Amino acid sequence: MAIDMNKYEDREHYDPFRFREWPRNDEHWQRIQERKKQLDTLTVDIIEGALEWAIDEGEAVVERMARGSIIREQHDYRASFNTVDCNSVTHVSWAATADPIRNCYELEDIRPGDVFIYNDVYASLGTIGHLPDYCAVIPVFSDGRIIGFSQIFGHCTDVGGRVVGSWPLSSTSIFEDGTMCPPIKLYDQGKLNEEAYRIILRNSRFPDELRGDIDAFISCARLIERQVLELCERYDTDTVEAAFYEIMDRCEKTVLEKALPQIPDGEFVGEDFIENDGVDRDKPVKIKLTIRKDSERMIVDFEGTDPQTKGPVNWPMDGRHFSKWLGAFIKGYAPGLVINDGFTNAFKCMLPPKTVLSARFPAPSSDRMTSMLIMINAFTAAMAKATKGNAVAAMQNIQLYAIFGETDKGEPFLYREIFGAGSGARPYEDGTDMVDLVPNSRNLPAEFIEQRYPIIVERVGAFIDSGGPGKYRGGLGYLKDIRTLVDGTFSPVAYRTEFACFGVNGGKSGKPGVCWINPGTPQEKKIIHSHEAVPVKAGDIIRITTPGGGGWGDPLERDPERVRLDVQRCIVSIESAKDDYGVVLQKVDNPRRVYEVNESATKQQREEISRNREPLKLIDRGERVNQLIKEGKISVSDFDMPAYVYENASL
Amino acid sequence: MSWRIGIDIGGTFTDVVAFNEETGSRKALKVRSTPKNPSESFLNGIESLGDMGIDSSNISMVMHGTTVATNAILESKYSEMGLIVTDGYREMLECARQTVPGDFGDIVTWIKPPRVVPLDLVREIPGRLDYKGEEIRPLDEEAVRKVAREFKQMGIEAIAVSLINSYRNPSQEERVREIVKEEHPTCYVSISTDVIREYREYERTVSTCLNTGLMPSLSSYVEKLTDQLENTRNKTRFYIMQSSGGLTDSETIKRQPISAVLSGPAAGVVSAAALAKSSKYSNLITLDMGGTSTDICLIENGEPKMLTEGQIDVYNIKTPMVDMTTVGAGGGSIAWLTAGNSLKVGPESAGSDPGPACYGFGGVQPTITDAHLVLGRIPTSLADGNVMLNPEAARKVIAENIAIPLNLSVEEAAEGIIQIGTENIARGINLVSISRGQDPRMYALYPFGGAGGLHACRSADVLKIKRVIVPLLPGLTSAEGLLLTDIRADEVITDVQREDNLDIEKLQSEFKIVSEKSKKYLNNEGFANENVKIQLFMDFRYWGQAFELRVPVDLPANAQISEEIIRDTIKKFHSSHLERYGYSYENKELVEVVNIGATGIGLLNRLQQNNYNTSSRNLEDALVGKNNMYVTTKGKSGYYPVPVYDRYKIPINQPFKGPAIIKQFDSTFVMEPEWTAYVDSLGYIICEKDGGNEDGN
Repeated sequence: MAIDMNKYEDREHYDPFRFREWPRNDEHWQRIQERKKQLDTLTVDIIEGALEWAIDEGEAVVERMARGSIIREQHDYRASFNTVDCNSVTHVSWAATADPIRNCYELEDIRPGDVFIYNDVYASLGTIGHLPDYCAVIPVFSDGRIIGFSQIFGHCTDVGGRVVGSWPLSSTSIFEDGTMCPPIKLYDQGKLNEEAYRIILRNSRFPDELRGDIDAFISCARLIERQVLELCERYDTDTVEAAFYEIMDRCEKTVLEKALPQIPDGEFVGEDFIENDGVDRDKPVKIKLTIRKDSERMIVDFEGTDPQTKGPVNWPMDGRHFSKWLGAFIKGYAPGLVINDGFTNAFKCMLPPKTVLSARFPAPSSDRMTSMLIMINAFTAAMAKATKGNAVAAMQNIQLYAIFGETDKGEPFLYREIFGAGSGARPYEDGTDMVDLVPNSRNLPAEFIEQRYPIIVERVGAFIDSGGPGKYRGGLGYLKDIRTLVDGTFSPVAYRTEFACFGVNGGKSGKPGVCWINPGTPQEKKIIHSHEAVPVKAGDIIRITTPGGGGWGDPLERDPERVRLDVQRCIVSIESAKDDYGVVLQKVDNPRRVYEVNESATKQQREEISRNREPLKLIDRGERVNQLIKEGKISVSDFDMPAYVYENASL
Repeated sequence: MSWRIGIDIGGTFTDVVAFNEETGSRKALKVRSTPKNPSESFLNGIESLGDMGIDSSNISMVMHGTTVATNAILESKYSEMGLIVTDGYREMLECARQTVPGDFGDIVTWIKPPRVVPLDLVREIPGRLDYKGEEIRPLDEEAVRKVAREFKQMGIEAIAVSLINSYRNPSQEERVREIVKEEHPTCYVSISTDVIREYREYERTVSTCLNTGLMPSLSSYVEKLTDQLENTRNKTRFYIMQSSGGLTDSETIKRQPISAVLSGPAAGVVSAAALAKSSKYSNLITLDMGGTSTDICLIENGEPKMLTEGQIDVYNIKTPMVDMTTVGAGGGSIAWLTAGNSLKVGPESAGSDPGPACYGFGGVQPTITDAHLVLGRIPTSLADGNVMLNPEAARKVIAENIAIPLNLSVEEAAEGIIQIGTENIARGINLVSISRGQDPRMYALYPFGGAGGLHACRSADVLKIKRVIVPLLPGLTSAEGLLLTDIRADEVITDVQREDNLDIEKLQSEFKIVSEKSKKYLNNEGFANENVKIQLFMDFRYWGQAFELRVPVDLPANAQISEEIIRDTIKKFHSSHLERYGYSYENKELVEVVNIGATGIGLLNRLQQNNYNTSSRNLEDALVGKNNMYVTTKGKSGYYPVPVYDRYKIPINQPFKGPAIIKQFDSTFVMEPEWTAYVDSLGYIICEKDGGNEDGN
């Protein structure tokens, strides 16, 4: 069966894969293509290595120079190098390509010394998703022509708008999200436009941080530019430019020859839900996709995804952008694969218009993070079907919590931290405890938090029993207790407070992550969903828990020794060991072991659970989602789909 | 008569170089390493010097490079330890920094390596400091006692202590150490503020744990050596190489074994850099291949790259070190097959005990050395006949473990082992060059260590490097490096002050303390004031930034630290920040002083490089025989008789062609086909392909 690609040309039903293209037909193109054919592998290796190194070095500059903690500690920024036709050559390439620059400026109006910046989502041609992401782009000139652009985006602390931190959770228009800067020349042939900068900075609550961050981006882009020019000197411009295209071709070839053949041909549906859009609080938002796979390509069709929302969970990008985002999750089929724009020739996301993933101006998008994460899980669910259960379980490894107010000296502060969670179990290993999805992102050291904010970090650790039970257990979420020393406002941006990370092939769902104020006291208050502003008083303890990953495979097949160790280490309770895993433990007088497995009781317990339980599901979505499905409030295609049974239980 | 001795213990051999301080004469020897008890080979080395006429009573100074710490970390063979943390932080090592390494999406496949202390050996104790170092809650001393007793009962002999905010005030940690010592006197205890007095609890804790885990083995090791040296009549001074390339005394290493993580490899780099400076080939990539691993370092214009923190195995360690990459490919690296029958080499090593099968010490797994022997690439006797090799044993293990399961001939299997080992090394060279935007073809490869010469031309061929330079004593390069550096004492006080509120008097007294401490240290080590150099420095950061930059303080002779000098140093911080990161916030942002420090250097007189002489006039004089070597050339493979030359009899400036085997006391160099070499007037072998590198390096 070959995929019918014609239907995706129908603009009434599908948005274009890429909003705009600049096919090359310039005087150099013929020559570069000829040169590409003559390149030796080692030269391409060296250029590829040097480019990747340039990106790493450039990012290291940002890490040292930036002022905002989201950039500095949490690594929420990416640099890349783009060709003159705006294709990304390097590895961290899912966002902020040079497209909006070409869209707004003719090539002849782009000159050496220009530095472009922008954060305008709807003028970005689908390359950035929310306003705090500022981008800087520098044209790279060699032999008198533009051979590409070095660019970087990063998440700045505050770009104005309705709330501190520019992450409103109930805005209904992008104008509430923050101040928009369309693509402009911040530097025109080396000359800074001070007045434009003043306007931008005037609209931030933390102008010094914003300036520090943007300056850091520019230094990074300049460093990458310098490294690319050094390459042009060492080889010659044509060779370097030809190598860009060869590097992208290699990626496409690896995907076609190594990764895609491992995925069966056919159609596979996957779904997952955003708890709500922040405005219609009772209405889950569905992301639905269908993987279509034939021998030549893989299409991910988002037909069936809910329309754009009133609240700010919209993620208005193009299919090309989404392709690179999801590409990271088939990388496992070709270890070491670097996803650049070459990938998008073999793997394409197609979006119907005006969905939550293809919203139109001026839909708000500040909280599009939830769409980004739920989309991955919808894709995972489809992959679980394609691979007969051999796919990773669900995970939700980014959430964000903030406390803001004034210090006792009257200075405003914003403590904001991105938290990881448990990753999904794999068909061969447990999920990982407390990790972030973004590579190199880091939590904030307590010793940093306490230096900078009126906060005491009383506890940081694992959320016991949060990992979904399974033959392989889901990773554990966080449990963090913080005490505020001043009156202030707490704002949880929490994505799975009711809808658990689903388990796969008999594995159970993980525990959702909720927050409490003053847990264990008579004033205890439980907080589900995201909130812009929860008032807190000096001395309050705020407990944050983040969701555990889904489990994989039948929990009764888990090695009892691993269950024993989890219990001894206090990350799984003795009750869960018995009820979920059917493992009965008894205390022993040995400080090194504490418990031993009672083998006969375990055998009996496992037999009993096995006799009385419902059939294991391929996708176990947890209590709350199942309840809503039963009530008819939401629907999925796989509610009754049974887990695959493998004769040889150890895969 | 006084001799200065450099002893470098590698995984396979222990190298000893002796340097006569009066006459400048040099002697060298090698003994077999004894990894299970490394001090044994150290003492064997000293004793063997006696056989060469150097009595231990004539030894004035012993400089030592050791891989004991490195290997313990790489092989996770540090001592089991308990960890004591602040209440609420039990899972600190589990959370780590929530970081998944690698690229976006790797969260799906990444498997977290085991933590340095498993969760069941972490204990919490009540007691809490705030960020100013003031006590919010007092230390629960009874709880500490209970934990100490529990660890004692469990048989734990090393305990790490890392408490929140202790970097501001070490008193709680010091008290914990006291109590633990009372309850469990034999236990090694290391507190985080002794290891690094800097904020960021996770990083400080990991370094403290590794330090603790290394203490038992390093302490007993160092004590054995010092005991033995004290038995000599003279007071022999004893120094150990640190990862930074400077030497320090044994007490420091006992407290801070973590500063010796790159002790051995750093000595090799110091030596290569020194030799590179004295030759016209100043851009080198070092290839230090020993029994267990290969260390690779890029030397640009005679200077190795340095780091203030580095990665050892999966751990980030905050201690100054030379910037090198280590690849698990050494002469003793074991060849093995995966479940899918794909051939792998390393990182497990047979070391020297049992060593490769051909050594006949009980090795039963095939190693890189066995493969070389089978293919006739090394002679059957090493180290002047001290080590005899058994080719039949090598054939047998390769046949049984690799060739038969893969249905290959023994030669094909051995050739595969060497190729895969070479690829591993080439990847390491990539990491220090291509990955950092440097073209390795602009560098000469500089092989040393016992096995560097076996893979140098092969690795060069993979990367199209056209020149290989072999030093005079490749197997003793690290031991020589020990004699080419100075004694170094770093003293640091952490005192965070913002520039708008500087306490100059306090800074003055702190500078006085650190410089006097390091000076006194060097005086005690026997350095007269004229041989002591003190360099003051300050670490600064912009307020709100997380990274410090070290700036030297220029203090004119006999001048005092003044406000003016400190303001000048802050200016220098702005300019070096600009130079390093491309921007500065001068007049925009406040600067914070973080550390005040002094580096004391005790200057030693150096080894002089003598002119190289050889009596030979003809290449034939150097020919000691022919080896049947397995050679692949123009697509054909087979055994060919290949000339074996004695390194020291090869005449100067007479080119000769590969394939050839060049044999010397401490190592073997294999020249592959299509390479040409000559020995230059300093004794280096300059080996080139297609006329050498294009840049004329």
